[in-house]
Amino acid sequence: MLPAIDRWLFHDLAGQTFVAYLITFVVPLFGPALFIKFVGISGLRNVLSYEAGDTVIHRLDPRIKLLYPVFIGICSVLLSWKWTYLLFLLTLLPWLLLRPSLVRVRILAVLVLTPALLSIWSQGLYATTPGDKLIFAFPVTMAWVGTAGLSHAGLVYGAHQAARLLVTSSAALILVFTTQPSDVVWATSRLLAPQRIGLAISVGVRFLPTVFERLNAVMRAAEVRGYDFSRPDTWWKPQQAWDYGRRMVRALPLLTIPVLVGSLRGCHQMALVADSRAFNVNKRRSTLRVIRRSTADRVALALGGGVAAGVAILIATGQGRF
Amino acid sequence: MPGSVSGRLAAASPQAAAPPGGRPCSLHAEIDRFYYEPNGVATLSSIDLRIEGGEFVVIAGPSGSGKSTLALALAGVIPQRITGAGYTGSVSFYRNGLAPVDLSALPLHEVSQHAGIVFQNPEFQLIQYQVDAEVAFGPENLGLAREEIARRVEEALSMVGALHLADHPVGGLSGGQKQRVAIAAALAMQPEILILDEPTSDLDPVGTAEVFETLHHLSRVRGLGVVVIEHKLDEAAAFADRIVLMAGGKIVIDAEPANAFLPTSAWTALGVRPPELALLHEGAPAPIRETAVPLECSAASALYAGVALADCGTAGKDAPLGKGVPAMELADVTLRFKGQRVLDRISFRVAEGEWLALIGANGSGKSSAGAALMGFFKPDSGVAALWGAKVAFGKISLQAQRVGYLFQNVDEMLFCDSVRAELEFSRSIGAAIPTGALTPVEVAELIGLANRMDAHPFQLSGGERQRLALGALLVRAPQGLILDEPTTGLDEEHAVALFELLSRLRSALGKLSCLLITHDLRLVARFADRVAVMSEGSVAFQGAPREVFAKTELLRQCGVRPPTISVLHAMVAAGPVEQVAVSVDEFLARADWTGAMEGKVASRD
Repeated sequence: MLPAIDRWLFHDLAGQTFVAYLITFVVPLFGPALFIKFVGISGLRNVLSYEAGDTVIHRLDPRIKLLYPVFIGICSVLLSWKWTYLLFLLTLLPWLLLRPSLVRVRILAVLVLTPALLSIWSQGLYATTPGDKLIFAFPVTMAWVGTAGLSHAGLVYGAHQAARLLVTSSAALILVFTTQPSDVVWATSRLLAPQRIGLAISVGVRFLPTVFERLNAVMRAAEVRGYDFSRPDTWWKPQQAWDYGRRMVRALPLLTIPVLVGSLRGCHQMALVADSRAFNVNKRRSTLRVIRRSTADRVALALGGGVAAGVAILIATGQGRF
Repeated sequence: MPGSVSGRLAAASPQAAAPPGGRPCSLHAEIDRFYYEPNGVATLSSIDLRIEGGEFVVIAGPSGSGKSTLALALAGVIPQRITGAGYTGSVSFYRNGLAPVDLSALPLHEVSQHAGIVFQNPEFQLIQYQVDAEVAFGPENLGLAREEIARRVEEALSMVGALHLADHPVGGLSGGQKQRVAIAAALAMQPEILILDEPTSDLDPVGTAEVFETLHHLSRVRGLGVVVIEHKLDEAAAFADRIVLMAGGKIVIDAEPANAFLPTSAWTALGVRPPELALLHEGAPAPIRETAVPLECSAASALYAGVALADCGTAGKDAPLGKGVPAMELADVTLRFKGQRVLDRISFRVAEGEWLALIGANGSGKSSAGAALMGFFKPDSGVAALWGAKVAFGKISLQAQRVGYLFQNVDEMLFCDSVRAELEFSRSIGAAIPTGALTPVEVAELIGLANRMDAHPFQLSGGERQRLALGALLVRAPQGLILDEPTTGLDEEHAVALFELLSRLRSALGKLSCLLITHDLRLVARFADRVAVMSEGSVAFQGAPREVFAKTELLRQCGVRPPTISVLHAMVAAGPVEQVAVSVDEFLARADWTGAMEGKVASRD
C-alpha cells in the first residue's frame, strides 16, 4: 500500500502535481487559519498595548528598553542564522520575568510564529538558484508558478529571515508591553532622537487597540445589517471554509472606509491637542516622573554589554558571521 | 523654566493674580468673515463677542450655525491650524494693566496658555496611558520644573474632582471621567479662558450636571472664563451668566439667561429647543409670565406655588405592560467583562408591539443588556431570547433576521458610496427578505431621504446619517428594533425629525417591538410604553413613564436625573404624587393657575 502511495505521490505526474499544489497553495492558508482560530479581530486589541505591571522589566529605564530592540536587531543582522536563533532564546528571558497571561502568549505566538513560518515557506520556494538541491522538484505541470520546487538553500535562507523577524519582534514587544507612552516620549528626547518619533510610537501604542476595537465595532455593525462573519462550524467542509473566506475578503473594502474615516478624524483632533499643549516647543522636555538608575538597569546594561562582546567575538573569529 | 511664556505664566497666573471670582482678563473676538471654501458662504460673519474672566457663557445654535467654528477661532486654531479660504478679524486677550495680545497671531501653544480648548470627543484628546501623565503632558512640553509640573497636575485634577484618578489608566475611565481629565489637561496649561465644544455629548444627565457644576465652580471660585458650546440648554442655562444664540454664522441673541429665551419662537424657529422651564413660563398666564424666567426647579416651584395640577390619569400609556407574546427577553442573565459584573441576574421582557425604554446612569449596564440580546456577548449565566428562540452568541446576522440594532455611532454602520447603495446593500446580503417588506425606495421615503438617493452618506448631516442607518435596518423588515442612544449628538431639528420617523414607524408597523436605550427622557416620555430603570447591572424598578418619573428620589439613587418638568410637578404638588406630567404641554394642560395667580396679583396690587 505505502509503496503504491509513494510511487503515486513522488513518481507519477498527477501525484507530483497534487503535492506541488499542496505545498504552493495549502501551506499559506495556515497563516489565516491560525489567525482566525486563535486570534481574530477582537484578539488584536490585546496585542499591541501597554500592560500595567510591577515587574523588574516594567521598572527598567525606558531608554534601555527603547535601545533594546535596536541593539538586538543589529546583532541579528550581523550573526548567522544558527546564532540568531540562540539570540532569540536569550530574548525570551525577559518574557519569563514578565509572565504574560496565557491568552496573550497564545496570540503573540500565532502573530510572531506564523509570519516566520510563512517566510521559511516562501523563501524555500522562491529563493532558489540554478544549482540548488531541491527537496521536492515541481513537475512540468507546475511550471507556471515560476519556481523549480522546494529548495534546501531557500529554506535555510528563509530560516535566517525568520530568525531575524522572531528576534526583533520579541525585543520590540517587550518595549511595547512594558513602557508607558509618556516614558517612550521621554526616552526618545533623552536619547536626542526627535520628539516626534517618540510621540508617534506612543500614540501608536495608545491608539492601535482603539483602531482594532473600532474595526470590531464596524464588523458588528455590518453583521446587524445582515452580513455574516460567523465562523463555519465544520472547517473540514471545503465549501463552508471557501464561503467564509469569500465573505471576509468581500467585506474588507467595506470595513476599511469607516475605520479609516474615523481614524483620520481622530488623528486630526489629536494633532491639534498636541499642538495646543506645546508639543515640540522646547528641545528638552521636563518630566513629572522621576526615573532613577537602579540595580536592575545596571544588570541589564551589563548583560547587554556581555551580549555585545559575545557577538563581537563570534564575528571576529568568523564562527557566527552572517 | 525655559521660554518666556512659562515665565509670564508663573508671574501672572489667574490663580495667583486674581482674587476668587475676580475678573482680571477678558477675550474679545471681532471676526468680520471666515470662509472654509472659496466662494462659499461665510461660516462666521460680523462676530463681536466679549468674554470676561469669571464669566460662564453658553453658546447654542442649530447645526451649521458656526458654533464650533467660533470655538476654534476663540482658541486660535483658526487661523493658526485651520486657515480656511479667508479670515478677517482678530481675537484679543486683555489683562488688566497690560497691552492686549492678538491671539490670532500667536502660536497655538501660547494661545492655549490664555485660551484653552476642550474638544467634543475626549477619546482622541487623551494621548497618554495614565491620567497624571496625560495632565502633565502640556507642562512637560513647556519644560517646567518637576515641582511645578506636580503642582499643576494636582491642582488641575483637584479642580475637576479627579485627583483620585491620578494613577488610573485612561482607557479604563468612564466617558464623564475622560471628559474631566481632558478638562484638567487643558487647565494644566493655566488658561484664563476655557472653551469647551459640547463637553457633555456622551454623558448621562448626572455626568452632565457634574461637568457643569465643575465649570461653574471654576468660573466662580477661580475666576476662569468659561465658554461652552452646548445643545443641552435645560442643564446648562441654570449655570450661565450669558446665553448666546448663533444662526447662519452670526450672533442673533446675546443676553442674560432670564431674558434670553423669550419669546421662545425665536429659538424654535431656528430649530433650537429652549429649556423646558422657559417654554412652561411662556405658557403660564399673565402676570406670572411677565416675571423673569426661572431656570432652576427650586426657583420655578417657588414662583408657581399654588398651581393645582389635575391627576395625570392612566389614559393611553398604561395598557398591560410586558404582557403578550414575548419578543425580546433576558432571563436571569449575568455577564462579566474584564472581571467586572456588568449584568447582574437581570430579567426583563419586551412584548410584541411594546416599546420599552432602558434608562440608567453611564455604566449601569444598559448597552450590555442590548448587546446580550443581539448576541454580541455570551452571558455567563441566564438566557437571552428573541421571540422564544435562544440568542446564539456570535451569530449576529442570525439575530439580525428578526431585530435591527442601531448603534450609537452610526458612522460605523455606513459603508457604501450612496444612500441608494446603502439601502440596497442590506437587502442584497444575508437571509432572504420576507415578502411584503418595504423596498429601498419606500424606506427612503419613510426616512425622508428620497431626494438624496445619490448623495454620499458622509455628505449627509449627522441626523440624516442617523436616519439612513435606521433605514438600512428597516429594509430587512425587522420585527424588533434596539436603538442605542439614538438622539445623542443630534440637535433639536434632527431629533424632531427622528421622533417623527419613529412615530411613522409605530403607525406603519404596529407589531414592531422596540428597546430604547437612552438618556433622553423626552424620547422616553414620548415613545415608551414602559420604562425600566437600571442600576448596577440589573433592573431596579419599572413602570409607565409618568409613574417612574414621579419617583424622583429612587431615580436619583439610580443615578438618573428625572426630567425637569416631572421634578417641577412633584415639587409644586401639595403632597406625594403617583404620576407626574412628562411634557410641558401635559403640565400646561393639567395646570390650574388660579392659586398661583392670586398670590401674584395680590403682591402686584
